[in-house]
Amino acid sequence: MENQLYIGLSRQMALRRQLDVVANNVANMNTAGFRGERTLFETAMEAGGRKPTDRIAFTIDRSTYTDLRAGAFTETGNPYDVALDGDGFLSVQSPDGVRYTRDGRLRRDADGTLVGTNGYPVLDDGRRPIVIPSDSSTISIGSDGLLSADGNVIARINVSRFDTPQLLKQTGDLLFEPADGMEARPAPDTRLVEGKVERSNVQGIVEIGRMMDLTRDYQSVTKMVDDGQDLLRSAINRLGKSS
Amino acid sequence: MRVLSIASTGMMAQQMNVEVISNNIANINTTAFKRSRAEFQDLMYQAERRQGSQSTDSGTIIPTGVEVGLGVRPTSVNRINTTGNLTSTGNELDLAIEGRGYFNVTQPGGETVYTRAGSFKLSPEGSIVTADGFAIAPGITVPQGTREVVINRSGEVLAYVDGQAQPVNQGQLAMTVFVNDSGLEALGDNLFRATPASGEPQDGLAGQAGFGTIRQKYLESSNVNVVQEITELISAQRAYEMNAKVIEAGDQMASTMTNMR
Repeated sequence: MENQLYIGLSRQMALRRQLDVVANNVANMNTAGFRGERTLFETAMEAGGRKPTDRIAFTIDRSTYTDLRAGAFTETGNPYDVALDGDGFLSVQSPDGVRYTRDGRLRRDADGTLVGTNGYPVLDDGRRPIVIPSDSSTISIGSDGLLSADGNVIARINVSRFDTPQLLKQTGDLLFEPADGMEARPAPDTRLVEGKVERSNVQGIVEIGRMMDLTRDYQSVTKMVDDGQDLLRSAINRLGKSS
Repeated sequence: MRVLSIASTGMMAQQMNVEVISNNIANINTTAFKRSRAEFQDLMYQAERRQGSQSTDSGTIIPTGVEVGLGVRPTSVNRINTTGNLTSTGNELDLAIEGRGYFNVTQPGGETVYTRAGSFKLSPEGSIVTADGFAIAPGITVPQGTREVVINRSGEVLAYVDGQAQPVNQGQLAMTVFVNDSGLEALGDNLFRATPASGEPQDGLAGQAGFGTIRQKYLESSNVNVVQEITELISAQRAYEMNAKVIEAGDQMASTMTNMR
């Protein structure tokens, strides 16, 4: 009888965690280059009972995965902004190692190094930081990643792709960390679009719909647990009468 | 509950976004104003079930774990330094910089600050000053009885004085460029100060390599694009509303729980 309570609890915990994921997606609705997250559920069968039908199913949120679809591009007119058209990632040198990002809001730091939003250098094809000469007035970034200052080609911005991008780990700050053994491959099919920024791929309405679903589910699970408890209580009252 | 704090980071971020947008719109007619953009990043992720760990029941490796992101944070308000449109004013002390560079303004304390807003005036002594009366470096004075002031593309100030056929060269305006314009500190009043993030000021003259040229009788408009700002405003407002809805949902879940007997 108590199983009902525990099954309900497992479902409620999963739903709350799912709402946390929705909340994070909505919070990052306007974060350029952000990738939304999704939750996968699975039923865990608890062994026990004599017949297979006696086994009890619990809910487990098996995993979250990153929705890797591209976001819409918006024009910013800023010559340092690039959007990536394709499944590639920019690579940046973080203190913890090379990280990958879809956030193309680039700028020049005080030394003339091309950096991302975090201030980490953006790497070229040889995995070196890109330094733009301080006296150059106009820079342009070609769709193939060639960066030129005043018409002279300086470097090619590295664009990498992964065979299994789902294994990339989000570390916050819009960075992705490759898992052990993952290899970054060149992404010749990904074009860089200058003067545009890729928006977050979160669709607000979809998230709100999901959120409503979650609250209703939560209510019905609570109702189910409640009803179960009522049943138990009345059984105790009725069967336990001493007279 | 985590959901409440996550959604509140979202509301705070969008509020800041709206503030930055409203400042852009407020300065839409400010000479040489550069629009700013609030930039956001996702916060850290909490791993509830780490990917790559062994699953206890079947012994397999978990390919993707359960990660819950903790919201959003503003990382920077980035000034976008594209050149605004040049508008003709007909006023001979209105100067626009076509390309990179800043005019040097000497403050009363002697500190040099920088501006691109070239709506200059003459002080009672005849020197070229900003609208607030600060001197433009190097100090350039226009002699009494000047009919016309001509400032050429490289910033040389030529005065046509009554009774003289040839113009008198009064000096050349100084100009400064920075490696990272976005790193300058905005002081208000169209003035900027150099910071470690902007790089050392590189002094020079208009028209040199890497420096812009000066256009007399023109002013640089702000680079604010009203359509873009309104679009961003609507998007920020919607995002704010949705975050508020998420808080409501989280609260509802919490109250459902409390009402359980």
